[in-house]
Amino acid sequence: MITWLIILGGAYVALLVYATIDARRRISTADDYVMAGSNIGLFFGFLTFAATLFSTFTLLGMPDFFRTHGIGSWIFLAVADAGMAFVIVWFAFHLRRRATEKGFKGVAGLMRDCYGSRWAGYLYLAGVFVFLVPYIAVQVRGIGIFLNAVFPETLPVWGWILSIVIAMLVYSELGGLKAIIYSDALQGTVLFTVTAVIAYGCVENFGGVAEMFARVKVENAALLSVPGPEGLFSTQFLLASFLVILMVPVTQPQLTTRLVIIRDMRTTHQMAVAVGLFALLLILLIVPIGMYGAVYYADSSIIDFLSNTIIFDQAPVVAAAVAIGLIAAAMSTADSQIFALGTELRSLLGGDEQTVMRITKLAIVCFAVAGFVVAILSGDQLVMLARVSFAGTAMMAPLVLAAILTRHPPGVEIVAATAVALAAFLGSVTGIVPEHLGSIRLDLFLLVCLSLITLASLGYRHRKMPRSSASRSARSA
Amino acid sequence: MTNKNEVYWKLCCTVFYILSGLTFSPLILSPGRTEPSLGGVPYTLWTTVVLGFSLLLLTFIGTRVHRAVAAKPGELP
Repeated sequence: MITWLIILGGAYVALLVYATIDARRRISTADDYVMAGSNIGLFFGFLTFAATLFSTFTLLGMPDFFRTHGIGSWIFLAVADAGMAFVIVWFAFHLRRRATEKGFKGVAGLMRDCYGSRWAGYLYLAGVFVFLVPYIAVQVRGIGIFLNAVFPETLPVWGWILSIVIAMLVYSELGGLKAIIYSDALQGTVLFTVTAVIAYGCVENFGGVAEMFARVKVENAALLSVPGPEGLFSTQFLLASFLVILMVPVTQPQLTTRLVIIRDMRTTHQMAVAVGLFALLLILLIVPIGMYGAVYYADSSIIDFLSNTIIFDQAPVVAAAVAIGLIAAAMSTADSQIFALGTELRSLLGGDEQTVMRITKLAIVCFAVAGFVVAILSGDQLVMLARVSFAGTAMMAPLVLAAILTRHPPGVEIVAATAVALAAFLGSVTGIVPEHLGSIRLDLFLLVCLSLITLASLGYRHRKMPRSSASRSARSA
Repeated sequence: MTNKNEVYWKLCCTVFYILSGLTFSPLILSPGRTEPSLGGVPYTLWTTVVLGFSLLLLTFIGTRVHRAVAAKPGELP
């Protein structure tokens, strides 16, 4: 395996260096650096969106989710992602139209311009910072722990985390968003290929799909239905997860930005369908990996299950490709998020372009350091932390949608309500506020309340508008 | 956007709501239910696989009827 690791690792590093140099060569303006020239075609657009969406948690977290909680994991992620593709078709059109009207440097800047209040931009930036940094951290931590378990003699966990953060920073700072997009394309391809190979091996081991589920039924029949052995997948949990995942392209800036920088609307639509197909196929491939774990590694720790299933039970070339793929997966999502945080800050800054770029680059380093520190301190629940990140940023969906869909500035009361909801949700994550209000999940309750407040505010302001403006505004939505 | 496209797009949105609602209805999310299975695949999994790919097909149809299709070159954002 070491030989293959050197060969494949060398090839990956060489491609990454080439991509960074090529991307750097093409940068002539700040827009090229931050927005990749806003001219991304279908192939790179699809792969960068998919790779940014599917991070380390796909290959490290989801198999364990299937192993522990059963087939409800499919509804949790795959059905939600298919729905998300439909949302992209609808949302991207309105977003791109508004971005064309107002100019687009980042979502935070767009919020400030649409609301006519700098507080809307600050709130968005604060929200994404609070909920993206832990997500960045948990990914690099997850891969650090995994690599330390597989190669115990090489580096300590913090050493792996630091190496990954430094590598990300180098190519992000040098090549900008285009370098990130190239690395995403590479990672997306590697991730899908190795997952397919491992899944095929798992099914083959059972002798077929029917035999696989028959074996799982003998071991733990509760895995084959909802709510799963631990009762996680209640209808309410799945519905709340569905809603927050639908809102991921609306509220997570690394994905929202990608909807704007794709060449044109038709390409964006094609990209949405391709991402949906990628998501469904990828998660379908993860089902047998989880079922394999449920039969052969039911009582093992996560790390033992994963290191055996995706590394030690595989042929050396596949194991090496998995290790490289995992490092690439962690980097491609985390770098996009760190870069997006930098972009969002830039969109709120004014003044000389060179100074703004210098501050942006410095901020990217600071966000990476924050990610590194949180990674050293955070827990190991990859999928659940990813869900918290999705749910936290989803609280800003009504804020963003009100800005994008209405022609006239929405009221600042929406900004205030979103701030309160974000604080309440953060309180529930940290244990200060209960997670449930009676029998209702707090995240679901907050999302519904925010949506109603936003609708009431828009309705009230719409009625107060002169008739001609009101009809123009309604038509635009 | 032509009237026909507008109707088709609204129809797609309606089907999206129906499919989403169906996914979380007791018809699909019935606790402990594994039968009838399809080729050995438990009930909740194969029905939601069908629903997932139906949503994707709907997305594809949506891209064919969305107002962006009817726009002239240069009109699109």
